[in-house]
Amino acid sequence: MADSMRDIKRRIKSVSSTKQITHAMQLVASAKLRHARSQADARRAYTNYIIETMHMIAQALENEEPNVFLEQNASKKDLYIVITSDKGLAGGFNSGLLKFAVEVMQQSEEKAVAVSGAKGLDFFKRRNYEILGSYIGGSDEADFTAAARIGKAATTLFLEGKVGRVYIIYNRFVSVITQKPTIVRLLPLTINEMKNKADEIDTETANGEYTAESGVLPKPAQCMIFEPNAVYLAAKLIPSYINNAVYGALLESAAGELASRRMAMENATDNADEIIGDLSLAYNRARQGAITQEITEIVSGAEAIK
Amino acid sequence: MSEKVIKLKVITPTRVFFEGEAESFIVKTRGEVGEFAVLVDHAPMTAAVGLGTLVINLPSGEKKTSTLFDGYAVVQENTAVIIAEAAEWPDEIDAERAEAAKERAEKRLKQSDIDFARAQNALLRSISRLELYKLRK
Repeated sequence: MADSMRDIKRRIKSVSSTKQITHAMQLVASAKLRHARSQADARRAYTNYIIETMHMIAQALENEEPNVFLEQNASKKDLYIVITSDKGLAGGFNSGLLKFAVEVMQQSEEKAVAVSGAKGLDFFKRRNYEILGSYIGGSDEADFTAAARIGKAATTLFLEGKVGRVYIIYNRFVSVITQKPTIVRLLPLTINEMKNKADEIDTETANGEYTAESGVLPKPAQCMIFEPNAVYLAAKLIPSYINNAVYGALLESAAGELASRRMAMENATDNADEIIGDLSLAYNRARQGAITQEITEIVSGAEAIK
Repeated sequence: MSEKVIKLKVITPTRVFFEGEAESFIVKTRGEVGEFAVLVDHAPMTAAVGLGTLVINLPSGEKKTSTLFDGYAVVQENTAVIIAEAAEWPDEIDAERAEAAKERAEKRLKQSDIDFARAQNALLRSISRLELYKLRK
């Protein structure tokens, strides 16, 4: 009896220390999540303007010669930029995304991946995918420099004709409890797409998530001067649009990872509480049993002496 | 001074860098389209912005200078929006880091097997930063 009591006590101790860790991780994740969300808000103003400028230049470009970014090149290879997390303990965050990624990649004849996050890199390495680039470190704190590096590398591969299409796959932050795997085509863009991007602003406003003002730029005047010219501007704007799109995906993914980790850790903490409750009950029962047994022994001993 | 002002906004991916009224502003960039100034009642214009500095002349007569890297300026009806990948005020510049970056870029430019454009960009960035840092004193 005494042995099992000690065992139970030891287990209660170990579960409590696990609970402390999961609870601390939950708090850290919520604090970081707040930061990630404010970063995402800060980016919205920038995105807004970039999309509006693209819209304006797209109109000016209509009668101009085609632009390299707008045309499909000869390469049959599709590049998928997959954004995952560096660390685990985030529930189904990575597994859900990777399952989705493998599924959508089946549509390509030839494919290659560029991965952000250690979890995704391991996954694709093990499955012998062609990996054209990887970025590890800071998956829960997106920064623009990293995004620009990924974006630039992808743009270069596209311009060199090594890949024909560029997609980005990431977990979209829908709410604190939902992240949705999403795929977006980055290249080639078409003028129509550039125009549709302008509508993105409106859809986001409709969801009530969009805080930055839109429509600040007046409708483009017919006599707009393009310095040096519209083609040059488009060639400059598109790469920065792509960098920005990658940055957006990194931010969404970081927020998603943190939200997902917070949820997972909250569940783990709740579970630990439950286990501690059960174990305490068992411990008290064992203790009571031991006392009862001792009394029985004393009483029967006294009986024997009589 | 004149009654009219330009409503200027400078936006980077991480923050709204500047928002306010300006009498005029000057974009001095290297390697791309060169230098231009925008005064009140400028014609509608979209211009590329390279690596360099931005000077804002406030209606109070005060002058504000910052770095400005890669983007565009859209000017229309006395509203101007500058979208840039990065911008910093002089007191935000890390001079040591910029100096190190300059040396690194200069060294790399002497080698032949490098991404020339990238090294040159890095050099231009660090020069702009250092110049602005000196202005601070």
